[in-house]
Amino acid sequence: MGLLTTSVGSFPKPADLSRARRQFAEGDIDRAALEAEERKAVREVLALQESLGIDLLVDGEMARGDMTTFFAERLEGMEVSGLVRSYGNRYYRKPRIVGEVQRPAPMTVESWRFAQGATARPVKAILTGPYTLMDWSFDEYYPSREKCCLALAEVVRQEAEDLAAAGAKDIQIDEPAISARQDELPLATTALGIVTARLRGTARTWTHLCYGEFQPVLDRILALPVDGLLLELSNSDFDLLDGLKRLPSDKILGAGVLDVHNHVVETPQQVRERIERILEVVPAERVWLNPDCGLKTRTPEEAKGKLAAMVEAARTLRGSLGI
Amino acid sequence: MGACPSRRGPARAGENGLIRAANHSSYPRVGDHPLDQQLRHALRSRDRGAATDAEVAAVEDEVTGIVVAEQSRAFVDIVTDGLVRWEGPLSHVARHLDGLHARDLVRWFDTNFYDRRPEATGPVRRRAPFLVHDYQVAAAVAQTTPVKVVLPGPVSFARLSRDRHYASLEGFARDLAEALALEVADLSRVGCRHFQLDEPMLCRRPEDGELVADTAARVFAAAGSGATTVLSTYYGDLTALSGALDRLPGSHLGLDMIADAGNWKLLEKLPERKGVYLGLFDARTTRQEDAQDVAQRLLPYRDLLTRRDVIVGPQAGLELLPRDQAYEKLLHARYLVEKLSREWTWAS
Repeated sequence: MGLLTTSVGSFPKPADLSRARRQFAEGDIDRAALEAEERKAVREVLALQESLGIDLLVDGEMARGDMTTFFAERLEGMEVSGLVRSYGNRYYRKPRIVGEVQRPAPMTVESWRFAQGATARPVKAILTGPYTLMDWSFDEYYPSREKCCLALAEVVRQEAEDLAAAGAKDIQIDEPAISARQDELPLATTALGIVTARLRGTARTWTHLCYGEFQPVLDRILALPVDGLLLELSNSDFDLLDGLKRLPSDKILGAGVLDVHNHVVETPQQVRERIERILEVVPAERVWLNPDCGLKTRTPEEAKGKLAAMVEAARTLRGSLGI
Repeated sequence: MGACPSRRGPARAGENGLIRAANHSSYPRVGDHPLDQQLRHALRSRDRGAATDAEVAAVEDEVTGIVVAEQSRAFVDIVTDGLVRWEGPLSHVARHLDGLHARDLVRWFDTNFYDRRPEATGPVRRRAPFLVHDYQVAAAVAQTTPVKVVLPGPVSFARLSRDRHYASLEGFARDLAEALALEVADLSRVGCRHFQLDEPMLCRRPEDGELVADTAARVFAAAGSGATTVLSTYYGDLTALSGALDRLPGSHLGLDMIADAGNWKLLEKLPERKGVYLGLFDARTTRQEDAQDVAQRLLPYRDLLTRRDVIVGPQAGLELLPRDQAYEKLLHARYLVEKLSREWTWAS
């Protein structure tokens, strides 16, 4: 089977949840009330994906405001600083590392269990990788980036192994920062390897990378210690396409066939044409389809429309290819 | 921090030697207090169709005033408009020049900040002035404090863009320089006397030195005589150009003293009487530098610094920090100036 579909992680938050998050921040509701809204939103986003026919589901990261802040709020040794712009009109509360990083308790296992219990389809567990957690935080504690990154690798490893023990069969460790400093790619690779080393045979591991200068280091990226790579391709007009011919034969490509930084909803035909470009360099049985990145910056209507176009394109192409 | 600066005023102590504190370029446009998030909300409202461009522009003017006032409260001697209207370091200018379009997202060097990559699809030409209003709004708030206007360097801009029109980096950069020179000339006409051209790619592509020199000279020439013109480099060092620093135009050379140790040795190679902007405060970490430590580090270079015009500040834009931390960086910069102007003899 090839051309299966999944998502990268985040979905737009429903208005009710956004309101509840604001109320919680202002002390107007308690955590139980917020979590009730989060679970309602998770059920809705799972139902949406089921109705569209997505193969591997995600919980939409409804409990996460930001992919690093969420973990910083749950790890000892990390705090959250003020708002920092990441691009355009998007801001996040950038974490600060102020002490030895430790994981006092599992951070995502219960929420993954809840999501998996709400659907018969497989749900992918999603973590932020150690290199990105380090690079997207202000480190005020560790004497070197290496020590910081490896300390974070240990806590992410613990979390990933707990997810696998809970039954997660697909675990994605996002590393969008991995291309930031190419001289640190060996460190990032080692850290990711620490996280995935003991998951072999238990869970399929993925990583997600986006919006960087990957071309000069593509071969190292393609060799990252995971089973599958979800890559942003559409926004950068398939710059990496030629290099993907060198995708190792044991690797799956999660091809970004939806531009999540464009309000325009692609047609199934447009998506199909993108997939056909990918199939010129990677065989269909090793290609999964997904948006370029998380969908949280889109409106719910745009997210639904884009995913529907992707599923329809995959369906018709599978039919014509006899898959 | 040992103490806060207690007064404003020039730190001048000698005839030609001078030390001042300045903001480098951007300043956080959004703070943590809900009242400090008006621009964020206005832009969101416009995205939803609930606010007009004119309403957003009014908020941008208001926020410009706030960030200028905040820099003034940090007692720096040269402020900027905070680049509050800039979507990104490249895309903002790209949107105002013919022949360019802002396209796919790219990471800004090794930061967690992203911008839309410009794409050249035709000859680059300026449509109309695009920074003059911003300068005038900032200058009205700053009053007697000089406002520096920051522009992307033509070569870095071209290097970081996608070129689908020019056959060469040189042609692209030279057209950009012509467009930016028109802007600088208009700014000069309305009273701007401080300009900064950002060429961070020079640290990574020293082979571009000649082209940077030529294009920067073209842009700075439009500022007129007597203007402060900073050729700013950051996120790396210029050691590969140590024998050619005298070729780089501008009244001041901007050096990143944080990213790499190489620039410290470069201080000894600075051309005689050339001004220098020293990026001594790390704009990418919430760790706050102690002015005493920074002063100690500068001590071996006292003789060569005290006979020239020195500006100190963050090594790059402060927008990658929370606003309270950005403000504190400027306070430390000003405190360093107070300290060195008091403890060192600045002379011709």
